[in-house]
Amino acid sequence: MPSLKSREIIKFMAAFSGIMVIADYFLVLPASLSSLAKNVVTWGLITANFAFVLGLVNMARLHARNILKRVPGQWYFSAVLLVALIVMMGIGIVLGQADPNYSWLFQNGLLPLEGTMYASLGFFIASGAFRAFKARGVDATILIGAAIVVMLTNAPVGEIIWSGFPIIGNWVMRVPVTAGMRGIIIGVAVGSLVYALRVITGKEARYAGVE
Amino acid sequence: MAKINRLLKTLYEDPKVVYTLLWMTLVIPYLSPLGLPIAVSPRTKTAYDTINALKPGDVIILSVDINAGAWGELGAGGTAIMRHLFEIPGIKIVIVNFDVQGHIFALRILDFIDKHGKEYGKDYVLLGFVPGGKAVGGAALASDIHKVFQKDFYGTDTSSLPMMEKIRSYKDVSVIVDVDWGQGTEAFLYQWVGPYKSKLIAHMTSMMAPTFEPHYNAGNIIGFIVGIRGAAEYELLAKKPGVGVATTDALSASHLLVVLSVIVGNIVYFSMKRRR
Repeated sequence: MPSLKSREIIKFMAAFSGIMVIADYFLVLPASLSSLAKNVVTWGLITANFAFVLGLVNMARLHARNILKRVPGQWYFSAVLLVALIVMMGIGIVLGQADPNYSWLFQNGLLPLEGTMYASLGFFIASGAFRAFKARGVDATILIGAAIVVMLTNAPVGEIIWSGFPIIGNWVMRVPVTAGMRGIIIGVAVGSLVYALRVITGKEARYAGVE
Repeated sequence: MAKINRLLKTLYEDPKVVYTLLWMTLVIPYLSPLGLPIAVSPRTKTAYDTINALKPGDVIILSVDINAGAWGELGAGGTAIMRHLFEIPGIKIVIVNFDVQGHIFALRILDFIDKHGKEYGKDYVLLGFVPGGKAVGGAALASDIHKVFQKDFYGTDTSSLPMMEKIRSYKDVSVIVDVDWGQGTEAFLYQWVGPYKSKLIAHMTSMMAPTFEPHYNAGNIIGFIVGIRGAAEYELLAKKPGVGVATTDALSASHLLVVLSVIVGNIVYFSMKRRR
C-alpha cells in the first residue's frame, strides 16, 4: 500500500495527465500548454514500454519459480517457455529483429504452432455444432436460425442454395447485430467516461493499489 | 432405421467422425477446386475503388496487424491489398503495426510481392510496432509520427528518410488501410477517424467483423473487407486470383458441414429425447 504522500502524487499525476489531454482536444490552448499535452501522450508511450518490461520480469519470475519448485505438470512447460523466451529475446536484441535467424525461428516455430492452435478451433466448433447447438427453446431456435443464415451468407455456396440467404444474412448483420453492438459500444464508452472522470477527480485510485 | 439411429448415435458420441469429415471438406476443395462463383459485396468494392483512386503523392498508413493465428485468414487479403498498393504509381506507403508480430508478416508479404520499382525510404517505409496500445499509441501516432518513431524498423533515423520529411501527422495521411484482427482498428477508429475524420479501410477476420459492423454502417469504416471471403472478392476485383479464391471453396464446404452438423445434431438429439 503506497504512503499517503505517494498516493496523493499518483492521484495528482493521473488528474494532470487526464485534464491536459482532454483540454488539448476540446480547447484551443496556448502553444506551450498544447505542446505539454502532446508530451504527456509521449510520456504515456514511454510508460507503456516500461509495462512491457514489468510484464516480462513477472512472467519470467513466475515460470522460474515453477521450475525451481518442480511444480508437477507445469515445470517442463515453464522450461520450454523460458528457453523460447531467452532464445528469441537474445537473438532479437543481439542480432536485431530484421535478422534472418530471428525471422526463421518465428516463421518455423511460432507461426505453425499458433496457426495449428487457431485452426484446431474449427474442429471444436464443428463438433460443438453437432453436439451442443440445440434448439431447446425459442431463443436458441432464433439463434440457430440466425447463425445458419449468416454462415451461408459468408460462404458463396449459400447463394447457390438459395439467393435469399445473402439478403436475410446481410439484414441480420446490418440491423440486429449493429443495434446490439451499438448498445454495447455506447455502454462501454459511457462506462469509460465515468471511470475517467472518477480517476481525474481522485475518487478512483485502485490502479495505484488504493482501495 | 435402427442402423441409422446407431450411426447417428455414434456420430453424436464420438467427435472423431465430425473431425474427419471437417478435415475432408477442407482438404478436398484444395485438391480439386469446385470453382463456385463469388459475388463481390459493395463493402469490398468500395475498399478496392478507394485504393484504386489514389493519386501520386497520396500518403497511406498501412497497419499490418496480423498475428500467427490470424495469418490463415488475413494473409491472402493482406497480400492482395499490399500488391495493389504497390502497383499504384507515386503513392507513399507508411507501414506500422499495432500487433507485436505484425512487422514479421509485413516483411513476409513485402518479400513476396512485386514492388514495381518502389524504393525503401523514398516510396515506402516500415516503421514497426506502435507501443502504448490502441489508445495512447493511436493518439501519439496521429499527433506526431516522428515522436513515436524516431527510428524506423531497421534503426535508420526516421527524419533522414526522404519520404518522411513531409509526413508528420494525421494531416498528411490520405487513407488508412488496416489489415487487422481488431487491435489497430480500434486505435484508428477512436484516435484518427473520430477526432480527425480520417478515411479508414479495414480488412479483418470474420470473427471480429460483427464488433465493427456498427462502425461500417455509420460510415466510420468506408471499406470493409471481411475474412477470407472478402480477400477472395478483392483478388477478383484486382484480377489476380490467389490463395483467397482457392480457400473460398474450402470455406463453403466447411460452412456447409457445420450447418448440416447443426441440423443432424438436432434431429439426433430430439429423436433420442423422444425415445427416452
